[in-house]
Amino acid sequence: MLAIDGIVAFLALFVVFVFLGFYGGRWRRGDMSDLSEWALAGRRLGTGLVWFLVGADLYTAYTFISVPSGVYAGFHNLPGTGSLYFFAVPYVALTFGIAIVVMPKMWKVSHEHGYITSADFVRGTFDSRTLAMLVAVVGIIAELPYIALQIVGMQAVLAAMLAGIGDVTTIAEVSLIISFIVLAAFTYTSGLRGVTLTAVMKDLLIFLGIIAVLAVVVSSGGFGAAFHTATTSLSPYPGLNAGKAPEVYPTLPAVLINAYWSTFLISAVALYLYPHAINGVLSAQDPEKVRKSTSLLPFYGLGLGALAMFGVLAWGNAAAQTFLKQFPLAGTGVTQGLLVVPAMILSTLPSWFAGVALLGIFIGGLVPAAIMAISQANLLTRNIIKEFKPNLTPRGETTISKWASVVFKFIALAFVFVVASTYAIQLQLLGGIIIVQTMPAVFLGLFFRRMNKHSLIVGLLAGEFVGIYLVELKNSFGILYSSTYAVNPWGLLYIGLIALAVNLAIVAVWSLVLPRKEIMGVQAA
Amino acid sequence: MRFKDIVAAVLIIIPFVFLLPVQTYDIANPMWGGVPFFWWYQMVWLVLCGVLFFIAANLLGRKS
Repeated sequence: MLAIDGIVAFLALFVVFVFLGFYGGRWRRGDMSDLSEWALAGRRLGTGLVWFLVGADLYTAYTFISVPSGVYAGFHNLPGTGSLYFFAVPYVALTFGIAIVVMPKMWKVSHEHGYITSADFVRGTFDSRTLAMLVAVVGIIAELPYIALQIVGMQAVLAAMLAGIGDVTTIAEVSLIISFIVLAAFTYTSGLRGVTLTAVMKDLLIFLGIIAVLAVVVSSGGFGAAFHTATTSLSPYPGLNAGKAPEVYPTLPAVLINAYWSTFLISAVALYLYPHAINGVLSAQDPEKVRKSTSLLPFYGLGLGALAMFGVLAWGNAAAQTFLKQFPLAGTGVTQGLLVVPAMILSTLPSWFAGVALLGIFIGGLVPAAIMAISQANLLTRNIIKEFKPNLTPRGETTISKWASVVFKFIALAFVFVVASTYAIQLQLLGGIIIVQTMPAVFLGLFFRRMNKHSLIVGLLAGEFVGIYLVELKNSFGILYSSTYAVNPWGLLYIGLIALAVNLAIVAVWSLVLPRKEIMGVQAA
Repeated sequence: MRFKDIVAAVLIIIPFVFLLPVQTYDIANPMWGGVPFFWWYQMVWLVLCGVLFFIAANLLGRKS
């Protein structure tokens, strides 16, 4: 467990975090009963703040818990396959290339028409309530497991901090509930402003932590030694290649090559379709600043790459290994993989500094959860409730959004308490498959306004059906455990790619082949 | 399309062309400080993407 000075540092910084969250409401004060003030910080964030805010979407529990966990434990817990999870690096490298083309355009169109969500944009462009509501529902559903994943990450931090104390589960659950009440309270009062200030704090602490751990690691043998240990040590999995060396760790096993590129390509397309990412971009002051700051985000990805490699470093670090051995390697609950980054922090840094770094990771789950809940709330209010209650006042709209953001956070929390944490990670991968189906309507819609709206509706539904069906088929319609790769003649392929291909094919054939007259008719309607 | 837009498009496409054929870099050697090629090569691309995308963003942004 973490020594007392570490826990003091952790708690002291948590108080600073809470202060920043509430103080945000007073900072650049605006009328908080206006939705674009509460949810988009008045669309006044400059380059630096947007960088941190969008960066906050990048450094989530996905980055510092799921990815290192996968690199450490491998695919299906098969030895030597951890390299598959390094897909996060090319994913982050490429996603910003797509974003600098698409997002400034999204900002301009949204600013012109006063859109706050992607579903607003779809409704305005294609004049289809059905399509807009579908996009909203898909966005809300896809965010839920993503928020749940943040909570799993926070659980891992608490489990690592409290390891060795008697009843960890209760303490951890109580801490999580308190944290969420605090988070819900300041998101309610301060909106995106509070979240933005805490995002800056979170990223600074995480970077400090990564650099400190890397400094210690490099000074004590470094990556070379870790890779050597990881690749030559015997397989730790009882029953699975037990006693054999994980011989393929340095590279990707050939059978996973198609899984690798299909996952990073679809993830790169999906990131900026998530409602929270769009929300972050729309809060910027100026589209060209968004473009420039986004283009520099691949540098930010270096920290993500370093964290992914913690999954290898943990094999080579004796202290981390001793710590991790207290936990099961696989199964439900808190496994060794989930604890890779906390373990590296605990075993390389002095305890007070470890407390600081662990707090960075803890609020690194809280901050994205807040942004995600805000964006879900906007979709619910503007694109679902308002469709049925068109005479909603702007003030009423904001009130509902504020409360909805509270409710969504607690739904996700309940989700984690009810469902095992491993399950939450798998569902997050399913979230990627689900959200990417909105790509034709949202991204292509920015450039090809003449697409047939019916083709977009049918394409989206078909993509969702194919995606979910293939995932269920792969998991024998039971609990999702491996979920997201379909076997085919070319090895394993990410199901998101197959489902998006079906979706795009329907949209393309329908929109291009149908008589031009009908397409023009839709345009005029 | 302006000439600048075409140059920007090429700069953005370059990383996709190099990263999508995974076979070309799925090798262990040459290592760098003990890190296999597969791992460090992709880290280097993060830096290259930052540079290429920044140039592209500046080209796309200037509306004359």
